[in-house]
Amino acid sequence: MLNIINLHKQYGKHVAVDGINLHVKQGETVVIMGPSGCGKSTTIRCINRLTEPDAGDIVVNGQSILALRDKELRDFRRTVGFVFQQFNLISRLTVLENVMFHLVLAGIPRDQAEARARQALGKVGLAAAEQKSPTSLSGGEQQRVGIARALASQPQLMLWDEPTASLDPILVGEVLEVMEELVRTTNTTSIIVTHEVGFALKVADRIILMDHGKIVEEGSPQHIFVAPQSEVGKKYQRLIAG
Amino acid sequence: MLHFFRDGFYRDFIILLLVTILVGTAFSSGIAWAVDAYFGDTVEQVIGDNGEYDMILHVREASKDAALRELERIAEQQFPGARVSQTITVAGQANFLFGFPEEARTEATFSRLSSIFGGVPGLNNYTVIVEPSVLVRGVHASVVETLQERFNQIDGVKFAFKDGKNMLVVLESAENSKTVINAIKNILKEYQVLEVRFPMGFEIDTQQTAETVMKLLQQHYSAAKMTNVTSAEYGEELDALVKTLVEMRNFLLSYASKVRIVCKPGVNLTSGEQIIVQGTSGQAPVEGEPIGEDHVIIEILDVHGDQAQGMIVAGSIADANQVLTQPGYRYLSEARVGSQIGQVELENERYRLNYTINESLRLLEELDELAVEASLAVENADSVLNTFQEALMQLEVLQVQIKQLNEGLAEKGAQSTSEQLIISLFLNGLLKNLTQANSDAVGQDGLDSLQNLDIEAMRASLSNIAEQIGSVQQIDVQAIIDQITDIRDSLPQLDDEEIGKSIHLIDNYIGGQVIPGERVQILVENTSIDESKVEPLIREKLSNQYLNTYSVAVGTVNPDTRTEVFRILKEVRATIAGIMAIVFTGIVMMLDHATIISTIKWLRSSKKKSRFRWIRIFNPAVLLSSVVGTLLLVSIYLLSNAEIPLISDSAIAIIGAVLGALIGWFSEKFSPVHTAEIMAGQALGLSNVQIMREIVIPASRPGLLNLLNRTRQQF
Repeated sequence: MLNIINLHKQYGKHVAVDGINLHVKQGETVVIMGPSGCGKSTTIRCINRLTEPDAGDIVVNGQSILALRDKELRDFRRTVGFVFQQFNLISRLTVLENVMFHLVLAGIPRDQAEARARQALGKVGLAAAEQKSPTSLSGGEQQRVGIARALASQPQLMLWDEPTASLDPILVGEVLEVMEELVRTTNTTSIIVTHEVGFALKVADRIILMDHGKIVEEGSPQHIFVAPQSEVGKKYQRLIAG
Repeated sequence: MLHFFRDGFYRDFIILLLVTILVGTAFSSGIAWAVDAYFGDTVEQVIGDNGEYDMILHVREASKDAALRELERIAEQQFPGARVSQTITVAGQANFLFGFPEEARTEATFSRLSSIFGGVPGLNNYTVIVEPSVLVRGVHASVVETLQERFNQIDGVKFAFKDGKNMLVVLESAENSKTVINAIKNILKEYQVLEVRFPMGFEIDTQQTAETVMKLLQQHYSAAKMTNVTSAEYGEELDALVKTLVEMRNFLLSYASKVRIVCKPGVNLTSGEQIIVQGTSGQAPVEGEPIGEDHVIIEILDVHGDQAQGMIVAGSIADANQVLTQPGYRYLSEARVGSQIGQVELENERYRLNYTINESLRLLEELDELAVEASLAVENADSVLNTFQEALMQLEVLQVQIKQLNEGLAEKGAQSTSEQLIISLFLNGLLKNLTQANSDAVGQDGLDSLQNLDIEAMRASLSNIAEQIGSVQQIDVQAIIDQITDIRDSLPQLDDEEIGKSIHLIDNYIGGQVIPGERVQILVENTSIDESKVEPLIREKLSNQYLNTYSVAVGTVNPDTRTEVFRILKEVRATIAGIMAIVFTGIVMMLDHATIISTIKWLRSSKKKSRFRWIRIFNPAVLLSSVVGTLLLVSIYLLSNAEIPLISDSAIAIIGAVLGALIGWFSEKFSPVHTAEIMAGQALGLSNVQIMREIVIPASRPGLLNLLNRTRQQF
C-alpha cells in the first residue's frame, strides 16, 4: 500500500530523516516510536507532503506522491486522514463545521457532508457537542474532534502525529480509547507516531523504532519490547519493566 | 510562489488590488477634497469676497486695537467710504482687510501704500489683493519702469503698479483677464535677461566681463539691443552709492597733489608701477639704498609717451607751497631705491587752494574798508572839482579884466608916463604868468583848453563810481567771509597718503569691480538669444570652461492673490492626497497584504529550497509585497491627482516599493496567521484559495480583504 524509499529531509544542517525505507501493507497498523527529534513526525508529514522531502520517494498504491501536481496532491490528501498533535482545529468554526467544512469544500453536498460529520462525531462520542466552539472543549475533546474530522473523509490511510502528546495524562485515556476502537473496527491503514508504549502494544501490527533520522529497529510489538536489539528498543523495554 | 495564486486566488488578489486602488483613490481624494473645501471656505472668510478688499495688513497682535483705530482714521479722513475689517489672528499676527473706495483705486493710491499705512501701529507687512488683477512676479529691476509704462497701455488695463519685486496689473474687468494676460506675456517675451554665471567663489570684473560678452553677442545678434543690468537688481540705492563713489573719487583725485613725470629717454613706465621722490625730506633717495621714511612714493596712474601722471600713495608734500621738481627713482623690491627714471613735478593743490581761500578772505576783509575809503576819495574829488571850476571862472574874469585894463592903458599909451609903463609891464607879466600857469595845467592849448574841460562829465563819472562803491558797500561781505571760512574748514583734512589709499579703495570697488560677484546679467531686447548656442562662444571668449549661461525671464505672469491662494490650496490638496495615498497604502498593506504575504511565506517554508540563488537571497514574498506596494501607491497617487512637493512620481514608486518591502519583511508581526489551521487545511486537501477564503482571511484583521472575502466564504 505504502512504500517509503530512501527518504531524506534536512532542516538547515540538522538531518531530520536520513534514508528511511518503509513498506506498509493495506490495513496494517504501524506505530513509529523513538525519542523526541528522531524524525518521526517529519516522516509522517512527508507522507502527505505537509513537509516536502529533499530526496527519496513515497509511493502509495503504485503512485509516487512526490510526483503529484497540486490538484492531484489535494485529491490524494483527501484520502488521507491526519490527526495533529495540537488538534489544529479552526477556532472560529463550530465542532460540526470543523468536521464537515472540508467535505463541503471538496464538493460534497452540504447535507451529506453534515451527515458524515455527525456520524464521525458520533464515533468519537461528541455528537452532543456539535454546535460548540472548539475552544470551549477540553483538550481530549478537541483531539477527538480532530479525529472525527479525519474520519469524516473516510480515508484509506490514517496518519496520527502524536495525538496525545499535548494532553493531560487524565485526558490521554479517552483519546487512546477512541483511537484503539477505531483501529480495531476499521480496516484503515494507519501509521501512528506515539510515545504511548501500552497503546502501541495493544494496536500495533508492527513497531518502527527511529533514532537520529534512521529506522534502528522494526518488528512486532513482542519482538521489539521483549528482545530489542537497538538501544532505543532497550530503553523502551526498561520503561515497560520499570 | 506562483502556485499560490494559480489555483484561483489570483482572481481574489486582482479584485483586491483593484478595489484597494479605487477605495484608496476615493479615500485620498475625499480627505483632500474635504480639507480643500474647509480651507477654501476659510480663505473666503479670511480675504473676503471677490474684489471686496484690496489689502491685507499684517499687524502684531499686541497692537491690533491701536492698528484698527488708525485704519479707521485713515478710512474716515483719507478715503471716505473705505472698508476696514479685522480677520483672523494667526501666530501672534492680527490681520486686517482694507478696501479702498472705487474712486481711490488708482495708481497714485497703490503707489504710495507704504506712506499711507506706514503709520499703522504694529504693522509688520501688507499684502495687496486688489482684484481683478494680474500679478507679474519677479520683475527684473532693469525693466520695471518700461514694463509699467507698457502694461498701462494695454487695453483693459486700469493701471499697473510696482509691489516689491512684483508688479500688479489691475484690470478694468475680470473678463479682460485672458486678453491682458496674453498681452503681458507677449510684452515679457520681448525682453530677455541673459545671465552668465561663474562657478562659486569665482569673482569677476562684472563691468568688463559684461562689456566683453555684449560685444561678442553683438557680432552674432546685431539687431539686439543690449544693456548691462548686472547691478540693476541690487536696486537704485546701490546705483546711487556707485555714482557717489565715482564723484568722490574724482574729487579726491583733483584734491590730491598733482604728480607729473617726464621720463628720461629709454625709460618706460607702466600704470600701477611705483616710483620714489625726495618730497620735502632732507635726504634725497640714493640708488640701491633703502627708501627713507620721509620719501614720497608715487603710483603711476596714466602714461602717455614719455610723460606720465601719478598719485602719491605714501609720504606727503603737505608743507610744500611751491611746485617741486625732483628726480624720480624706480621702486625696487624690499623697499629699495632703483634707477632714476626722470624728473617728477609735484604740486600740492590743497596748499594752493588753502592759500587762495586765505587770500580771498583777506581781500574780503579789506574790501569793506577799501570801499569806505574809496567813497571818501570820490567825495574829495568832487569837492576838488568844484573848487577847481570856481577858480577857473575867477581866472577867466581876471583875465578879461586884465585884458581890458591893458587895452585901456594902451589907448593912453601916447601920453605914457613911466608910471603907466610900469603898470603895463606888470599886467602883461601877470597875464603871461596866468597863461603860463594854465599852460602847465591843461597842456599846450593854454587857458582855452582848461576852459574846454567837461566838468559835468567828470562829475557824472564820479557819481557813477560813488554808486558802484555804494553797491559794494551794500554787499554782505561778512556772510561771504563766513561761508568761505566754513568751506575752508569743511575741506577734508587728508594728506596725500590717505587720499591715495581712499582712491585705491574706491577703485577696487567701482573701478575694477562695479559689483563684485559671480555673474553678469545682460538685458536683451528685440531678439531672442539661445543661451545654449552662445554659451560655447562666451566660454571661449572669456577662456572659462566652467561658466554657464542662462536665460532669465524679466517677469512671469501669475494669477492674482486670490487665485494664488486657491492655487496654493490646490497644492495643499494634492499634498494631502499624496500623504493620504501613502498612509492608505501603508494601512492596506498592513491589514490585507501582510496576511497574504505571511501565508505565502509560511507555505514556502515547507517547500524545498529553490535551486535559484536569487530566490534564496531575495524572498519572493517580500519582492511581491514590494511590487504590490509600488503598484498600489503609484496608482492611488496618480488617480487621486496627488502631488507632494519635491517628490517625483518615481520617488513615490520607490516609497511604495520600500513600504511594501518593509511590510513584507515584517508581515508576521503585522498580521500573524494561524499556521496550525493552515496546515490542517492543507492536510484536508484544501486548495490555496480555499485555505485563504475559509481559514486565513476570516481570521485576519478586518480590512478590505476580509470584507471582500465575505461574499465567497462558505463557512
